[in-house]
Amino acid sequence: MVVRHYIEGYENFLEFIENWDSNKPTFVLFTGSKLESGESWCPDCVVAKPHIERGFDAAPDNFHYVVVEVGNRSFWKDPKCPFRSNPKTQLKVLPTLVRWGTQKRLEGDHLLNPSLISLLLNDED
Amino acid sequence: MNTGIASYTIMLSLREATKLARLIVGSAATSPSIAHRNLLTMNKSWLFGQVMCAAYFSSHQYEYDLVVLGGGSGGLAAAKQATELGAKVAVFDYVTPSPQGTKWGLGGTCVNVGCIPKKLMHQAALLGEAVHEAAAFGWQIPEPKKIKIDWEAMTQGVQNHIKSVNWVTRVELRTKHVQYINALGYFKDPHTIAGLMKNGQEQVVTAKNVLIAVGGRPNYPDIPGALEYGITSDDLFSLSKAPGKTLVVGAGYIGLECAGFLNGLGYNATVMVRSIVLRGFDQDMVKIVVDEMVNQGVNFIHEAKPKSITKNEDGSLLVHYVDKDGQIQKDVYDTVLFAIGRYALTKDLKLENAGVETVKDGKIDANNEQSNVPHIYAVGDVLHKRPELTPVAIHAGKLLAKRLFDNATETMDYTNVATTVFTPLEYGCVGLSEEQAVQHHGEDNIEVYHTYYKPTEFFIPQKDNSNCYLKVVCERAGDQKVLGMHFVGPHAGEVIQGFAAAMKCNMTFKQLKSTVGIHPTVAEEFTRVQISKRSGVDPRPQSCCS
Repeated sequence: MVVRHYIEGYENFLEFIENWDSNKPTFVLFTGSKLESGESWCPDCVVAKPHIERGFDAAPDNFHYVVVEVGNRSFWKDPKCPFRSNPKTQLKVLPTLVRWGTQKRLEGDHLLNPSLISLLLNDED
Repeated sequence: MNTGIASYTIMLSLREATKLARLIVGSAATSPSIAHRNLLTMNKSWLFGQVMCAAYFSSHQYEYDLVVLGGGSGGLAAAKQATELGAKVAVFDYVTPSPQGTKWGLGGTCVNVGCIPKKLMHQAALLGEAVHEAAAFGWQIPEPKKIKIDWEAMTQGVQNHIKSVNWVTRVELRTKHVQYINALGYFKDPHTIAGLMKNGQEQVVTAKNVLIAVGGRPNYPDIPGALEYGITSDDLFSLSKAPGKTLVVGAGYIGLECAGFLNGLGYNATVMVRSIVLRGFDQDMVKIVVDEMVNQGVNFIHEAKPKSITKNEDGSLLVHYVDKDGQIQKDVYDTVLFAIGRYALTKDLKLENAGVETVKDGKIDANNEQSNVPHIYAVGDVLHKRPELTPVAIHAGKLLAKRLFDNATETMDYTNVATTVFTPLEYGCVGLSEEQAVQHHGEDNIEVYHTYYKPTEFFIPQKDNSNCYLKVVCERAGDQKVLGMHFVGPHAGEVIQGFAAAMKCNMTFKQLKSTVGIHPTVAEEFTRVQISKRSGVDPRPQSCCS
């Protein structure tokens, strides 16, 4: 089983990532925060979730899967949202799954494609 | 992996079946294959029932409709176009590390060690220049003299961009169902390609058509110390520490560009020229480019050849070279960069197993990208006597895929391809140089219009504009068809691109003159040029806004 981490909001994310040993294979999923229903407000995140989960089900034990709930809809939709402007995250789309410390990332529709998720998780090039 | 291939085969069978069915019921589609043509001559209703069978057979004869050797600009463009047209495609790509151990990802020379990183470093150099100009425009910059480049930071930014392009390319290939094989592919026989994978296993595939798009790599001279201590453009863009005082051996566009941006970034740069600078380009323009580089501080050693490189105890490199008088000279550098030409990477392909012939330098002399073996094609830098330019390879690759898989007939037009040398003052051109025009048309039959010009934005920072120059080469008679356009100045690439389209439309000098310019731009100077070289009138402008 991969090691899972849950983080809410920008401040907590900053604190987590600054103290994180980036030599560990780390995958960060940026997703819309959950509504009372337990589902994300972001419909694209909801559809992508099962595909991403299935990808991590097959991943090695030393992988770290960090789920970051970026905040509510209005926080994310603000063009000045810090997740968008931070040079380390540079988010444009929710959901985004990043292989942390690399330029490899999948956004939006790509996270509906199991083959691409597998490429992100397993490609060592 | 295996199940993936099986499902592709079924998809292809259905696709081919549909195609064949369309063919047989008499649609406009025609197939180039002899087998298909023979089928057509037979009874149509009988055939209709046999379609699935025929498709099954044809798709199993070869695993792939197209195997591309080399995942660079040309190969990838052809591969993507081919899959969009329903073909089943695999791409072999593998980067042999440079003598200094540099390697890179998918995407070829342009993305990894060519156009992209050089343009970014050229931009970094221009920004450094701009910071100093900004002070003249009123920007308050504390201690402009202390501003310097952080080589590691710049390189990191450039490499990050490259790696993100590598990744996007991987994603795109997978989305488009192009099979990517990270192995050095070679011919086992004319239709069989093999490649050694990272896991040590050999992957063998069969292909109906093969596209050779392996490109080229930099040459090293055969002198002591070259391989041990010299670097090339393969290494420069990812160099872990600043290059320092650099000797660039070679005065082709790669050598000049590298020397230009290194100088602009604040490193002492010297170009060692064997004979001609920018061979094949208009030599008036070349002189201007060189003058400007000298102006900006680049050193040139003309008619000289390096003899040896040895390493000093402090890590610097001692270079002995033969000067124009045959005397041995020496100097010490931190980095020696060879930019003395490139060779085609065809040696590893075992072309003899496929019967593909090469000419000198291992290049392939193709006719409409087709080699002497009809089902084996080539695009890009491996082609003999074709411009080694990314967009040329991409264009040729796409057109080839359309001819192979969409019954298209359009062939690649290699004439009047515009290009730009990204020296500090850029040089953009399209069409014939003055020398070529004289050679093709005769001196009496051409007219050359030229002018120096003064970019508006040069005045306030008092930038030297003495090398801002352009030239239009035309026929002398009639409406004077434009044969070539040449421009040295800021943003030359952006200036020339539109004029390249105009030349595709056979623009005449009369039409150019009747074009209204955009003021104030540098491109508008092309609409104002009126002094012919033959007139002997001074082409230097008298005032700024005449």
